[in-house]
Amino acid sequence: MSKFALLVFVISVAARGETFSLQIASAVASQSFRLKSSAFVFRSVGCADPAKMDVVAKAEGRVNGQRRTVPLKTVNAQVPGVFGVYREWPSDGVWIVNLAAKCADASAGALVAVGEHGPNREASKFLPRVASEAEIDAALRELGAK
Amino acid sequence: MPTLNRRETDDEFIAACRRGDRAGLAALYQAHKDKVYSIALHFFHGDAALAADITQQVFLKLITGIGQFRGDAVFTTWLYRLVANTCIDASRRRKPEVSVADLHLASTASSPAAEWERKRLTETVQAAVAALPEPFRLAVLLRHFEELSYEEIAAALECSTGTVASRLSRAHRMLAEALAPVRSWFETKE
Amino acid sequence: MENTHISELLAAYAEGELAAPEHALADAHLAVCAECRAGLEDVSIGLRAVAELPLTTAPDAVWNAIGRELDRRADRRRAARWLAAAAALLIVATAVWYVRRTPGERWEVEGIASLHSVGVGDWIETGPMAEAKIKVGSIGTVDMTPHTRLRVITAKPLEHRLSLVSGRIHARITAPPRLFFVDTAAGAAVDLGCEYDLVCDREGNGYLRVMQGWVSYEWQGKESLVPAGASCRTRAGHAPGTPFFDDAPAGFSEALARFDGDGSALPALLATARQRDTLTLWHLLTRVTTEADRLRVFERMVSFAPLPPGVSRDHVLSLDRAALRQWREELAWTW
Repeated sequence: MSKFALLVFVISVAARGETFSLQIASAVASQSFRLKSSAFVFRSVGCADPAKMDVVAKAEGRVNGQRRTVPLKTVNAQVPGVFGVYREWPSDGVWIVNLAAKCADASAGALVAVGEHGPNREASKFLPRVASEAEIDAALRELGAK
Repeated sequence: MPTLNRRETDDEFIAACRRGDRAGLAALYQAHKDKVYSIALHFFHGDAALAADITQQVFLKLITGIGQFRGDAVFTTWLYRLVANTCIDASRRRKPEVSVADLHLASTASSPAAEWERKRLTETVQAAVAALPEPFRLAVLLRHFEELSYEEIAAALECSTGTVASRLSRAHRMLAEALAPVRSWFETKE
Repeated sequence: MENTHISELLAAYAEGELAAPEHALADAHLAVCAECRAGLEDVSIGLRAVAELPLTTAPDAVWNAIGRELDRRADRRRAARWLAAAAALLIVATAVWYVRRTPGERWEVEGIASLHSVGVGDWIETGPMAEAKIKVGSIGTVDMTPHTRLRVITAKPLEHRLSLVSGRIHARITAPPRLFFVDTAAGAAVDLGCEYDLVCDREGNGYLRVMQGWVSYEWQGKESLVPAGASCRTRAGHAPGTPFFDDAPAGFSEALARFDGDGSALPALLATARQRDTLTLWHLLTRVTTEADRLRVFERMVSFAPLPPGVSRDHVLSLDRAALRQWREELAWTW
């Protein structure tokens, strides 16, 4: 990578750091044995006090044409602002995990597609706010069509 | 909010400890060891051997006394009362410590390398913290490393919240006074 | 509060610990009192100074010492019980005491008709068609496939250790890290909270494949850190193979086998690496033999992921352990 490209990348990361958002990864990223069997882990980016961040996780699904919602537990890692989400939704149908987070006055959301071996970043969506019902429906349709 | 916090996950390991399951102690140790060790280290002016000994004593007292821990109390408060008492007991058996007045603080202004300068600065702060009177020092370390609330520090040190507020105010002013030769570093560190 | 100094409340004020009405009163007082404003500035200096105190990792020796002391206590309790019994049945009790003093617990075994439990020193061997399951204390299980031979080396609460002579095992461990170990002729697999397959022949040649968590494969001070979804090869008399993700392109894993064998194929490795192959590249930083090669690996890595704050190029190229660890932990968020 050229120095210029590196500079652009660093500047874009720095700029992104000012905006509150969520980052997902497979369970090993948490470095916590407690979360090793989680479906995926997530953390905040751009939250000044991650320990005080509020998070809500729900599995949103469509099973035999019916919309279903399952509240999920989020389990803290030892590092503030890092959480694990466990697979607590049924195996049939199409499902995504809807994450809603609040840090001070800022909100962020994510619709996470979860595969057999962890989260699928390419099929997930990251939002600067909580996802709307229409966005959840659209994400489920898109996932179901694949 | 359906979030398990650290206290709830600690509860699983406390229950395991009570059953005599050493893996439960191992988990509590993993979760708290570095903070307990760091508090002891800075309480005893960087004495790593003594800090290791204090950490060992704390966790041995933990497994011995876990039966006395009541579930309605907060585990971290109970743990850090053990830490405070163990540090104070060890301090009584130890030779007198340095006072703030005895500190010879080096000005870091002329140091050429930023990294070296920062290391010296940390050492200077360590020395200033180690020279605080014991109750002040414990309050500062519990607040910094464990991020306990004033109420939790009061419970750990068995004093009132007002006393904690007063000790922290006075402790930080003493530190500012002791660190006067390097004050400019903190003033420009925004 | 305007006429009363608030010096005792300055830390609570500065740290936002005052309730809103008290905070407003303190604001009003500070607006008119230069002495308390100066005090507040001092408290802020103190708070910034304390923020400099680093969190220090407790040395491993502390846990080892705790384990030894707990073992001593358990021994003392056990000894006391048997000594009491000895008052009535001295000879029998003494014999039992000697048996019980043998260190270690016994683990249940399923699948072998003639063997229901094993203790320290015992061998377990599965035949051509047989499988067996060992319950490793209270921390997990080990499944043995046919033609597997292993021995129990240590069976203590703080150290559960097997020696795998040959064959294949599947371990599922629920304990905190570094309580379960499997030795082979080519090193030791150290559980960091995980589920994994370990396969080896009598010389130690084989592989480690991790399904959950992390495993550290260690040999003579050299280490491969293998996360879920990744594997590493093991070879007798050599450092553990470099870890790679199981979904790595064929060209990448073939080049890695050549690199692990004779140090060649670095250009092919770098050319075929993907973003998540920074797992492998991170390990190569300490395995390449020239500074020029290390720089090539570094430059390929930063093309995938920037250095995290506080980690510099010099830190990495000088193999600063803390910086390398910090970078690895950050890279894991991109795998």
